[in-house]
Amino acid sequence: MSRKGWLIGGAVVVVIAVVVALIVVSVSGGDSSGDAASPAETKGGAEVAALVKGLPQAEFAIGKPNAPVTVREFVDPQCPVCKTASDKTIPGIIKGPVKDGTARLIIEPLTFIGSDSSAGALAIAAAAAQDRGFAYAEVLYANQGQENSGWATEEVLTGIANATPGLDVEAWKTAKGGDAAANAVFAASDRGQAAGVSATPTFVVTGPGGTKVITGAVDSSEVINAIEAVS
Amino acid sequence: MRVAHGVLALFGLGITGYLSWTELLGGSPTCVIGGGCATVQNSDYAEIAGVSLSYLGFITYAFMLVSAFLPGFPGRLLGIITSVGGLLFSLWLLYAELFLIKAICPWCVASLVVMVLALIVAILRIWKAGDLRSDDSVPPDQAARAGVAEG
Repeated sequence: MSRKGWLIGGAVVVVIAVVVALIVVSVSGGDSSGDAASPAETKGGAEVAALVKGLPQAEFAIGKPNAPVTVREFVDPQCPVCKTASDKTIPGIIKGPVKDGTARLIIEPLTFIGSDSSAGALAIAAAAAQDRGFAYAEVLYANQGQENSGWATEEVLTGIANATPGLDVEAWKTAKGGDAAANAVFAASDRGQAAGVSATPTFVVTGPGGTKVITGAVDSSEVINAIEAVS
Repeated sequence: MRVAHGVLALFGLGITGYLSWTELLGGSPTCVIGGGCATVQNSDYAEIAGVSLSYLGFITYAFMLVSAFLPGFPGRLLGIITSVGGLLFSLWLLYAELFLIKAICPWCVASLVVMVLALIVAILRIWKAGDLRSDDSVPPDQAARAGVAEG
């Protein structure tokens, strides 16, 4: 083979090696936010505890039960954009209209992405049986792994339970395998279909002044404006 | 062959340019129930080292277009590099769509088809050149006769 033939062959081999290396780095967690944490390093518990401190929680909801406005957030435990919303959108809503009693936020876990979604949703529903559904979901998003990578293992979900403020982990384990948790997840799916939800996260904001629907990991001000608009 | 490579590169620039544009200005990202381009684009798997595959694809097709304008060995070399690299990325994304993200973006599949054709053209471009020292504008038999005359 000519010298230039060797050059071409060598260049092709180098390109293949570089591309494969980049893909391997990406999949194995070059971006640490894409990794599910091991139970020993479950993240977010302290932050969520601070977020929910002093606020009433019931099942999947947080905020005063008689708040005039309800914000239903339809999510999938595996949706990366829902994780972004957990970081970017939710805190402002909690610290603002939820804290001052104007609104109540309800997490509605859907399961369309894959089997890790179902595992995560059941875990959230089991926590909701102890009125910790919202808090568990927030800790889950702090520890979310890459889609359908098998990240939602029993160990990871139990680690999240351990980090969820106020949750009895043994009672949670029992509830996770029960019919009540499964029925709660089915009910969330039914409500999503009834509301015409086609993507996550979707915020359905309902109040005396009507209903507004917002999709995406928007700035919290957009949801807060919607809350004010329907109040 | 250079013209074919250029045409394919333009198709690819159109596809990846559209995907890059929607990613830049497409409003709030979401995970779409039932899959789709938004779900794929917003997936962690659709980026390498934090850079979206749409942008990487656009850059790759831009270099492919440059290769179409370059005669001779440099053009062939750049053409095969961009085709092989682009095809590998496209195959990875197809795997991720089918087995990990569980969502299909038709535009990404179209880009894969373009990359396959581009690789075929790149290989043909090398094969048709025969003598790798030759200019693409000179048919191989004339290049060979010129080589004999020079020699």
